[in-house]
Amino acid sequence: MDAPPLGSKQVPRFHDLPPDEKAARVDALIQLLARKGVLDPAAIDTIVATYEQDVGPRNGAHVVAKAWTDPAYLDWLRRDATAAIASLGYGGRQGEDMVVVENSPDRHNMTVCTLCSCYPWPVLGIPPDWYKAEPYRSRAVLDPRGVLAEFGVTLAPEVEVRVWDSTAELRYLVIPMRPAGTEGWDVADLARLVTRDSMIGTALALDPARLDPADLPASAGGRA
Amino acid sequence: MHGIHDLGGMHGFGPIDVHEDPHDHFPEPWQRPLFGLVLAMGASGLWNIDMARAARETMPAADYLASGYYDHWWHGLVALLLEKGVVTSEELAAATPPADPAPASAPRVLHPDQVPAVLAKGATARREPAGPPKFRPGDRVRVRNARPAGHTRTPRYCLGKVGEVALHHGAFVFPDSVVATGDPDPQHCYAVRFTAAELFGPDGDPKAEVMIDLWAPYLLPAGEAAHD
Repeated sequence: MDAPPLGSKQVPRFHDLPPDEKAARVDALIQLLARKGVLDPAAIDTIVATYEQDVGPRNGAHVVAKAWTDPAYLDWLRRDATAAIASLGYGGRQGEDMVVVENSPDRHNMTVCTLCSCYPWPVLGIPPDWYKAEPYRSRAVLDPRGVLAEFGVTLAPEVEVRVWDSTAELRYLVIPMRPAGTEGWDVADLARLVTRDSMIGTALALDPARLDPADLPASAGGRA
Repeated sequence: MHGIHDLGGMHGFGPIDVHEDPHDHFPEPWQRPLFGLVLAMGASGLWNIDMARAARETMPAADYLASGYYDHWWHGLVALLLEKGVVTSEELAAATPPADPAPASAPRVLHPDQVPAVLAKGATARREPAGPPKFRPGDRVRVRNARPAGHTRTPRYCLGKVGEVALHHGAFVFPDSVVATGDPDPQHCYAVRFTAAELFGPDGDPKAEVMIDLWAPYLLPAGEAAHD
């Protein structure tokens, strides 16, 4: 290959420009690429709308709630998470090869990408800013309990913490522990307890005892 | 390269900003179209994800730390467009884009009606392996101690460290090769378990371990020296 090494050409100044100038640069590049015939600008809105409206942590919450209620589905997730998740309609970009990791009374899992921002998009959507920023990426592997404390999570000292650094093309989904007091709840109601952060491993699933009674689902005897 | 993007195990970046608005992925208006632009061009076939990561990692270290995530994306996109000859420095420098620029070509141009199917399909990096796996779950392995100047996916904090193969994931495009030469060179990939004490000494949490996904060429049997 005769291509010059990456970075051998100067990328014009950008990061320290004010936001309106950045917006102008982005718009100019979109126009330039469209005029060169390598971009259909209309695709941009469709892509953004997909991730703003359709793909997000509700998908992962569905997977987790089903795993909590359906032992055969959990077994499938353990054997072939990609196929089991795809059976619910979730898959594709940045989730092509999925692995689930299960929290237990003895072990807490959390995920990070120390090198960039690898994250299971089809089940969790676009990663939060903190997941992509230096403080989390630097310390999640070195001081996971300290990181969890910043999120307000305190684990018992005997609980082992396992941090998954997604340095390759596998994408990890944490299955948090099912909260006590949810016996008899259906999948849709359980999914409401599964937050994005609980599937990254920086939170636990919501405790129904701490929900406003008005928010309790019908399957739990609430009014919702 | 073990550049500034390779952050694992470092101190000094301050507290985590846990209070972000979960419904606002693009706090500054330019980030929204840039996000869509990068994904659209990512589907063009002009480069793959490894090349995109490598391009972001060429951002000068001081700029990387002084800027945000989507600034890194801009840098990577422009670096690739320049390297592939899709755009020129002169075109980028123009205050307004030229009305009739020299045309460029891409293997694919993504159109809106194709977006749902393309995103839902993704592009797995899984490939048929060229040979049997060198390691099995339970094997003790040492991460080869090396500092390649080109793209690589060994985090610096595990170089030379000993762990245990926990999962064999199958074979995947090998980033070092595909970025250096274009050859996908599929290699077996493993989740390797390291104790925090092995990685970080007495400052490692005695009840913590780190699982790192590592390709076979990064690994040696634990009994061998950490470099050739």
